[in-house]
Amino acid sequence: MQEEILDFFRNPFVIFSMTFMLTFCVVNGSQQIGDVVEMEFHAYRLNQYEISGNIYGSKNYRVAYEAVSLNSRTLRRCMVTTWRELLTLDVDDMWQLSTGAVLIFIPSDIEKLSDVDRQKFLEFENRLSTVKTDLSVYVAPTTEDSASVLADVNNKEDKVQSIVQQLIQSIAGNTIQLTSGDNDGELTDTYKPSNIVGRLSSNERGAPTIAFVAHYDSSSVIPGLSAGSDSNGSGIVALLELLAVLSKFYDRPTTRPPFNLLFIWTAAGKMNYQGTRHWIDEYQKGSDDEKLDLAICIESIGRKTDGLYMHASKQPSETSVAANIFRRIKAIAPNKKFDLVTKKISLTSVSSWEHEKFNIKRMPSVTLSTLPSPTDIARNSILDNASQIDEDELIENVRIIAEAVLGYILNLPENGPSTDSRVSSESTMLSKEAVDKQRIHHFIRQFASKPRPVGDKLATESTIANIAAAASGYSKVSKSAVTITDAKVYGVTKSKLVAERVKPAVFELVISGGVMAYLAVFYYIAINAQKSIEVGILNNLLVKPYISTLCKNENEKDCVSQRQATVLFIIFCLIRMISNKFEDYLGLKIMLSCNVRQQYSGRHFGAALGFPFLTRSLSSTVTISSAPLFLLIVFTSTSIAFYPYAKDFAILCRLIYNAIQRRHYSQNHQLMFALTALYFYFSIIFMELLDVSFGMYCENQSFFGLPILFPNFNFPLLLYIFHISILHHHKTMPAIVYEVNQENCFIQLNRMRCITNKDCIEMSKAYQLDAQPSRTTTIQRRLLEGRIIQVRDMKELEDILPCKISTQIRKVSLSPKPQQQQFAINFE
Amino acid sequence: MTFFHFINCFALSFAPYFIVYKYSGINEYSSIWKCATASGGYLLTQLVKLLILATFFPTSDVEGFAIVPEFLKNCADIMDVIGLHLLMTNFLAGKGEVRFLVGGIGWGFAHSIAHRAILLWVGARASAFTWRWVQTSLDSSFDLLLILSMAALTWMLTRSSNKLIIVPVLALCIFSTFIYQTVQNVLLITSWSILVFRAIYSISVASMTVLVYSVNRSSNSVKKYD
Repeated sequence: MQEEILDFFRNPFVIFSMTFMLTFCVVNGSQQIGDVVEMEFHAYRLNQYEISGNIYGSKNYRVAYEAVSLNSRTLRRCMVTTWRELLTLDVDDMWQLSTGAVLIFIPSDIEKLSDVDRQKFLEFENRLSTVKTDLSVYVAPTTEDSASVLADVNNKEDKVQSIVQQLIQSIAGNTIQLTSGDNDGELTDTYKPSNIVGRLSSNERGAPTIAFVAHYDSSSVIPGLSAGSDSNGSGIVALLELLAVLSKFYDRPTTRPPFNLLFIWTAAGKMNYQGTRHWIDEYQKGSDDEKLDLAICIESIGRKTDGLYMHASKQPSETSVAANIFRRIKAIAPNKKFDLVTKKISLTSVSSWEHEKFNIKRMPSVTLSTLPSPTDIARNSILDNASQIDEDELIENVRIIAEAVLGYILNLPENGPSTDSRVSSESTMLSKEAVDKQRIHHFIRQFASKPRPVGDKLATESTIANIAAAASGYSKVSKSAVTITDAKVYGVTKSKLVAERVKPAVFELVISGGVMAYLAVFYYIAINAQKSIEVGILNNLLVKPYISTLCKNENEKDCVSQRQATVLFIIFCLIRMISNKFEDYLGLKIMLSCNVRQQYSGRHFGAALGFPFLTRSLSSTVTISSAPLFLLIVFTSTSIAFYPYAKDFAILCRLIYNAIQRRHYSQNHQLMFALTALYFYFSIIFMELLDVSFGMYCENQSFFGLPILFPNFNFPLLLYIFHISILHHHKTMPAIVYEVNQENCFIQLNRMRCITNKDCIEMSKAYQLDAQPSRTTTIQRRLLEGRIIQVRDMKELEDILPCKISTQIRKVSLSPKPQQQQFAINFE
Repeated sequence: MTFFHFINCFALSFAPYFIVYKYSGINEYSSIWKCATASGGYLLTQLVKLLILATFFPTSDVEGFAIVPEFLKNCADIMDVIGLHLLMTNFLAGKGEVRFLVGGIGWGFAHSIAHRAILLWVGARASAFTWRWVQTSLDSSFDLLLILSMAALTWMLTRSSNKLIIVPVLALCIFSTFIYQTVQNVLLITSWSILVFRAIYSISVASMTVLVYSVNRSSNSVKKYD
C-alpha cells in the first residue's frame, strides 16, 4: 500500500503541479498595478447658473457613460482628460455635443502649483468659465485611483494594434463605465439662502446708521472646489471681527456712540448680489426715521496686494461720510497706499461691486478691498484658498477700518488728537490686542476655508447657522430669507463618481461558451467515471504484480540496464557535440554577441547530467558487494555534474532579482515567464538530485506508453531552453537621437538593455534618419522630450554607439504621438 | 455584469451536480428524494455546527488571520463527518457505493447552494466585471469532489479494517477550509492562483480516495477469497 502512495508521489508531474504555485505566489506578490474593479471618487461639477436670462455652464449632472480619451470624443461617452491637455487642444466642438460627459482631472494639491502653473491654471479656469454646454462636466482632483482611470483610458486608445488584437479588444477588452452617484444636491423651490443681520443699537431715536456689508458665498467655475477664502471669506471674518471689536463700545450706556451699526452678511453675492438687493428693498420698505449714513461693503481684504482701495461709483463730496472716512483712513495709515477708485455703474450688466446695489437705490455706499479692480481674476478662482490669506494683512485692514469708523462715530478730530506737527506720538482708540489674532485665525478656519457656494444647500445653511451663532455672541442677530429674482441657482455642485471596469456584452457569450465546454467535459467524465475509476483500480491491482513477476531474473535486468546506459551515453555525447558545433545552424545561436549570452552561456545540451545515471546503471551489479566505493563514485560524479548547474541557477536568481529591483520587466507576464522558467530550471535540477541520490524516477517511467528517457535525456535540453529564455529578455529603452554636426545628419539609436543592465550590442539598432535637420529636430524633440545629443563627427559617434550604424535609412514617422508611451501623470 | 452573467455563473455552479446525478448512473439506483434527504441532513448538521461554534468559539477580537484559533474553529467541521455517517446509516438505503454517492451529491448540492446562491445573486448581477464570480462558481465543482471523497471515506471508516490509511485522507477533506485559508493568508495568493490550488488540492484528495478505496476493496476481496 505505502508503495502505491509512494509511486503516486514519485511521478514527477505530481511534484511539478503541486509546487507550481510558488511561481504564482512570487508573481502575485510583486504585482505592480492593482486590479481594482470598482472605485469611487468625488468629482465637482462645473457651475451652472442663469443671470438675467443668460445661461452659463454645464446643463447636466448625470453621468452614465463609457470613458474615452479626449481624442475619440463622440456622443454618449465620457471624455476623460487632464486640465493640461484641455489647455493645449481645441475642444470647441466637444462642448457642442448634446449628450455625454466630460471628466477633467486637476492636481489634488492646488496650493503647491508653481507660478507658471498657476497662470496656466487661471487660463484653464478662464476657458471653462466661457463654456456653455449640454454635457455634464466634472472636475476631479487626482488621486491614485482616479488617475488609474485616466491611464487605462489612454492606454487603450494609444496602442497601435493589429486586426486580431483589435478583435480581441472589442470582445474581451476592459472598458470603464463612469456613473454618477445619487444626487441629493438638487435644489428645491423652497430653498432660500438667508441674509444675516447683526445690530448694535445706540438706543437714541433718529440716530444715523452705518452698515457693514459682506456677502458670504463663494464661487468659481467649479463651485464645489472654491473655498473663496479672500472673496469673500475675508469679508465674513472682517465683519465678525469688527462686530466683536465695536460691540465693546455698546456694552455700557456711557460709552455708547450715537450711531446704529448694522453688520449684514448677504447671501448669493456672486449671483449679482441678490442678498444685498433683497436687504435694500426690505430696508426701504421699513421705517423712515432710520437714516443710512453709509454702507461700507467689504470684499477681499485678506490678500497682500500693493495697498487698500476704496471703490465708489463717483467721487464723494468733501462733506460726505465716505470722504470723511477716506480721510481718516489716510491719516491712520499714512504708510499704506490707500486710494479711491471710481467706476461708473453700468445698469445693463452685472454689478461689479456690492456698493453699486446701494448706489442704484440712491444710498451712500463704498467698497473696501485690497483688489484694485473688480475684474481681478482671483475673485472667482479655485486658487483663492486659505493658503492665499495673509492674516497680518487682514488684521491690519480690519484695524484700520475699525479705527476710522470709530473716529467718525465718536466724532474725534480727523487728524488725530493734536494738530501740532511736533507731536508725533501715535494715538489709537483701540488697544493693541483689540483685534484678536487668535479669534481671526479661528474665524478664517471656520468661515474662509471651505467652499460655500449658493448652489450647495448644506454648505450654505451651515455657513448661515455658524455666522449667526458667532455674531449672536456680540449683538442681536436676525435672519431673513432671500428671494432670488433675476437669477437662477442650480444645485449638485459635487457628486460621487463610480468608475467600473466592465466587459462588452459579447464577452458574456464567450464566457457562456466556456461554461458549456466545461460542463461538456464534466458530462464526459461523469459518463465514464465508473469505467475510468475501475480501470485505474485494476491497473493498480493487477499490472504491478504482473511486472514484478517478469522481473524475477536479477541478472537479466542488470544486463538490460547496462546496455541501456551505454546507448544513452553515446547519444548524449553525440548530441552534445552536435549542439556545440552546429548551434548556429540549429537556429540556436541567438544573440551570441550579446554580452549576457557570452558571460552565462547555458551548458549547451549539458550531457554532464548523464553521468550520474551512467555511473549508477553501470555499477548497479557491484552495488551490494562494495557499497562505499559505489557511493564514492556516485558522489564524485554528482558533484562534478551538478556544480555548474547549481552555479548557473544562483546566477540566474541574482540576475532576476536585480532585474526586478530595476523594474526590468515592464509587464507582469514577462516577469511571470521569467520566474516560471527559473522555477522549472530549479525543479529540474532538484529532481535530478533526487534521481541521483535515490534513483527515484528512472525505472519504468512512461508517458503515454513511451519511455521517458528523462531526466537524463530531456532535462538538459529543457535546462538549456529555460536558461536562454531567461537571459534573452531585453528591455526597450527610450531612443536617443544623435545630431552629427559636421555631417549634418541625424542618427537615431533604439536602445535595448540586457538583463545585466548594460546596453546590448546585439539588439540595439542605430539608423540614419531621412529628414532634414530642422524638421527632424522639431519632430524628434517632441518625441523624445529633448533627448538629442550633439556630437562633432561620425568618428566620435562611432566611439559612443554600442552598435554599428545600420545601412538602411529610416523614415521619420510624422505621427504626432510619441512612440514611447509614458502614462505617468505628472503635474509637477 | 448583467443578468446573463448571473445565469452563466449559476449554470457553472450547479449544473455539475445535476450532471453527476443524472449521467453517472446513480439515478438508476436511487430517487432524487434521497438526495433531498441528504440536503436536509446537511442543513441540520450545519445548524448543530453553528450552535457548537457559537457556544465554544465566540468571535475573537483578533483581527486578521491567526492559525491556532482558525484551526480550532475548523475542528467543528468534524460534525460534518458525524452527520454524514448518521445520514448514510439511517436515512439512505441500498448498496454502500450508492449510499455514499447519493449522500455526497445531496450534501454537496446543499453546501453549494448555501455558499453561493445568494452571493451570486447579489454579486454577479453588478455591472462591473470581475472574474471573482466565475471563480466562485468553478470552486463549486472542486467542492463536489471533496465532499464526494468525504462521503466515501466516512462510509469506509466504519467498514474497513485498515483505518490507518483512511484517517489522514479524511482529515485532508475535513480541514480543507482551514488549509485553503492558511495557504491564502500565509502565501498571500488570490483569485486564480487560489483557484488552481483548490483544484489541485481537491483533485489530489479525490485520487487519494480512489486509491484508498481500491486498496480497501482489494483487501476485502482478498479476505473473501481466503
